[in-house]
Amino acid sequence: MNRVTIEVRNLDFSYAAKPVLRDISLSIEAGEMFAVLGPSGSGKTTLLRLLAGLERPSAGSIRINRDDVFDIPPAQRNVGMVFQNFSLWPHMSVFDNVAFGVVDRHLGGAELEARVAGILELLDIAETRDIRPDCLSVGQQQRVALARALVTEPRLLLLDDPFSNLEYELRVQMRHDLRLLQRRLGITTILVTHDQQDALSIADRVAVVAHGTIRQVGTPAAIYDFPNSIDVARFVGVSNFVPGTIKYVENQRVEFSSPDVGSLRWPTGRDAPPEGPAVLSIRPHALHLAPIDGFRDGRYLWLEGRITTSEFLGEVVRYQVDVGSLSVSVNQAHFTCSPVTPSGTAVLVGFDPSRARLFPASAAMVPAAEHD
Amino acid sequence: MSTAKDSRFGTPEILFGLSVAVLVIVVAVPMLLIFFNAFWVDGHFNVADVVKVLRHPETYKALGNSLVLSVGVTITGTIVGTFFAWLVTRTDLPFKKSMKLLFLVPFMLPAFIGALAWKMLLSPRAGYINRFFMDVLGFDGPIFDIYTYAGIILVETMYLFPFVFIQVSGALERMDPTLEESARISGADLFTITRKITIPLVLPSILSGALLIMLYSMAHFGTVAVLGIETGIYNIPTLIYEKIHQSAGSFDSIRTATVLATVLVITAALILWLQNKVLSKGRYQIIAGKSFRPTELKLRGLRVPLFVFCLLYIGFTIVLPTATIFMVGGLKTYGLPFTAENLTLANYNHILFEWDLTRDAIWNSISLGLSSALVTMFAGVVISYVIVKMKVRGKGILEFLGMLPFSVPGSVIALGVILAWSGKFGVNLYNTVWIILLAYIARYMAFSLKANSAALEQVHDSLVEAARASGATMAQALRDIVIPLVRPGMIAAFFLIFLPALRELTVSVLLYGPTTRTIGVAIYTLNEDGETVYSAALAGIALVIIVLGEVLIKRLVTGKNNS
Repeated sequence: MNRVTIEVRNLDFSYAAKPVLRDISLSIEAGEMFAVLGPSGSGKTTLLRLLAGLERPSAGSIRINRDDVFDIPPAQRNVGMVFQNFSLWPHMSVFDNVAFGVVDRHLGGAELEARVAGILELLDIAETRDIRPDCLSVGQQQRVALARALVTEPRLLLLDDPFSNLEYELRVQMRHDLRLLQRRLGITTILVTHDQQDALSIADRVAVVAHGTIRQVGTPAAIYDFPNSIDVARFVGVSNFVPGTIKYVENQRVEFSSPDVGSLRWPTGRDAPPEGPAVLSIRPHALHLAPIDGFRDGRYLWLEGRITTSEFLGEVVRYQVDVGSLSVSVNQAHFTCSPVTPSGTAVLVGFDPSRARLFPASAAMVPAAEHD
Repeated sequence: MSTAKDSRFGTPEILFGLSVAVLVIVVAVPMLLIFFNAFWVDGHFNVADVVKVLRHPETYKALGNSLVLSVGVTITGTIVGTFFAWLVTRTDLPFKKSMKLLFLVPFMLPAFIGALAWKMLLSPRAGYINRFFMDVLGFDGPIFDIYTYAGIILVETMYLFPFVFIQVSGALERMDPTLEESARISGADLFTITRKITIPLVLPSILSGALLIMLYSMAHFGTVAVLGIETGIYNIPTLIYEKIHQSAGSFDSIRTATVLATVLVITAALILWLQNKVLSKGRYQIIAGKSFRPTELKLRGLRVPLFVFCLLYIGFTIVLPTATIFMVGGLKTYGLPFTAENLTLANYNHILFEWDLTRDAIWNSISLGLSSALVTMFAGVVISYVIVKMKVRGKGILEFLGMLPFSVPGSVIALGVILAWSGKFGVNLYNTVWIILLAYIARYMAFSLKANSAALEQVHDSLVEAARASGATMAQALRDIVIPLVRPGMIAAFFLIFLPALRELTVSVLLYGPTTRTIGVAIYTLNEDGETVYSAALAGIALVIIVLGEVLIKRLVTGKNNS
């Protein structure tokens, strides 16, 4: 299959005079698995529909392999799409569902037969070929939808929240299988999802969208470790937020003060918001617990707190620790037989300032979206 | 509900017994008497005689006519209904929402009043349109003769196509648009998508609507009676009417009528069985969850012409006949041209305030409508409760008996109550208003059961159990939990019965006596007696009452939903 690049430039889309997408620009590389992550209503499905040609942009351009497809109808774009609810045709067998796209591209009988059989084989659903989609399991339906999208050998594969209908275990399995398949076929793929795990686990790069605009584009690790705004930090992963004020002091140091944590100083890192109100963001696993009278490791800044609750999650134990008037989440790795610290224990909470992020406090906050 | 098992005759058994008794008396006895009279001659079972009746030219011609007319109406009605449904759901036709409502208007209008209007417009010699073409434009003969098969099919189509329209537009609206979009992405053009995806998916709805048209047309009395009898076109219901009326209850004609009724029942049952099969086989899960609006076909150059066509269709089938009814109703004498000096309100005044016959008819229809709706609503809620909620053996019989009249044409029910309640079994209600009431209750019970069962099925058993767990008695739970929750279903049932009963003709025309005419009967008989002007005036008043009723209900229902 030929690998294609996608160039989206300054794309706008409005529906009923309301802007849905604003100034979207993206470059997607050939053979890339690209995820668009955003809460429901953020416009991510609309972006997919614009790429498929199901909607017409209000402004901007879409290029597939440098060809402007603005006026090309979906039938001629040669893309494959898997809809959120799969949209399998209930009155046709699996074979007919998959063959539909090929029949209309005038292929001979035997060749068609072989092509459909091949794709069913590839997706490991050969035995379902004569069954109606209603009678299949959700996982099989998803594979049929994928087979139908791939059978026309599309240049670009679009997936609209493909795992949202699956249960957890099946979801993990399908993510894995899809990633392998995509690598094998080398097909440029765009996946839209509201689930950060789906996006972070299989994508080469992720674009976070909110309110119709792109907030950040980067590798999953970059997005997770270095969110560029409080919105992205809120939406991707779990984080503790500490409101306070900052000012810059001598020797390239920043001073963060808040009634709960007092005044802390550390060397200015990669983000340097203007002086004034700011929010400190730190992930639960970047925090360390130590006994209240224990050794204060100099690499960390230490605060005093008291454990209120603990959740045993297997690989980690998540503690809620009261620090001043704040309740902070702290993840501690769990090893066989290591004890869970009881609630009510006074502890030291330490963090490495280089793993914390500072954001200007004035940034608009996106409501914490689904974390499922 | 296991407490009921303790005693042999608890409340469930008593309710069950009462429900069975009501349905047996109202539904089962009349139906059985029809079959009994058809097949039981001189004290023994006799099929040869049935065959003899069927081989009588009069009988098999009526059977053939019923078939030809209903098949014709089904074909034209399905085409018209599907076309308009597609137009208002899938194209960029202007004012689609209003157009959709307008296409439902024919459902409100009684077909026989429409037939009356078309007779006034297109009867070969006296029809206004034909006279206009002959007198003014100098045509040699009439341009269209409404007293023909084509005329009857045309008129019935105008009033029955909404059956298909409602089903198909509903299916097209509910259909998940991504089903068509995925075909578009697969590279199919609009024609292929329509042929291979859209039509197969809405086909069950098209067929089910078509079968409803067929069922209705097969059993339809009014249009054929108004337009067909003059030229000798009888269908089964009109022939039953002739037999009962003209031979004053002679045994032979009653037998012929029961045989005809039997054929009608069997055909109707067959059609309903087919419809059920179509629906259960084709009930795909095509209902969209959260989704985008379906793609609209751009009509481009055809947009305005098709819009004008829709307006013309509505003008021609709704406005023109309605206006004709009111205009003719205001004429001093039938046949005069519509000029100011020929028009008067005296006819309406006479009918509403002076003439006993028409005043009685209006009063009879309203009181019959109200009382049958009330009785059926309450009986329906009790019977539905037994069917849906109670665990008693044999409740399948109730369901069958209750739904039976749904598949039984009105003329058959009327014939059944004549056989049961005209003195043979010690009770003679013939020529009284009570016999019509009994027939109405039998006929409309299915409506009430459907509305009430649907409402009751929404009330989960656990709600009653929760009330009882909180200390309520069964009676309190019913009063405080169940009844308030099914009230909308009961109200719906009331109006589902009251409105059709107001304009009913098929049943009452077989049962009316000198003082028990209904509005429908009065319009029909006045027309038969040549009192065309009074007939039209009464039809006009009926239309006003019906439209007011519909509007009132819309208000009531939407007002309820808003609060």
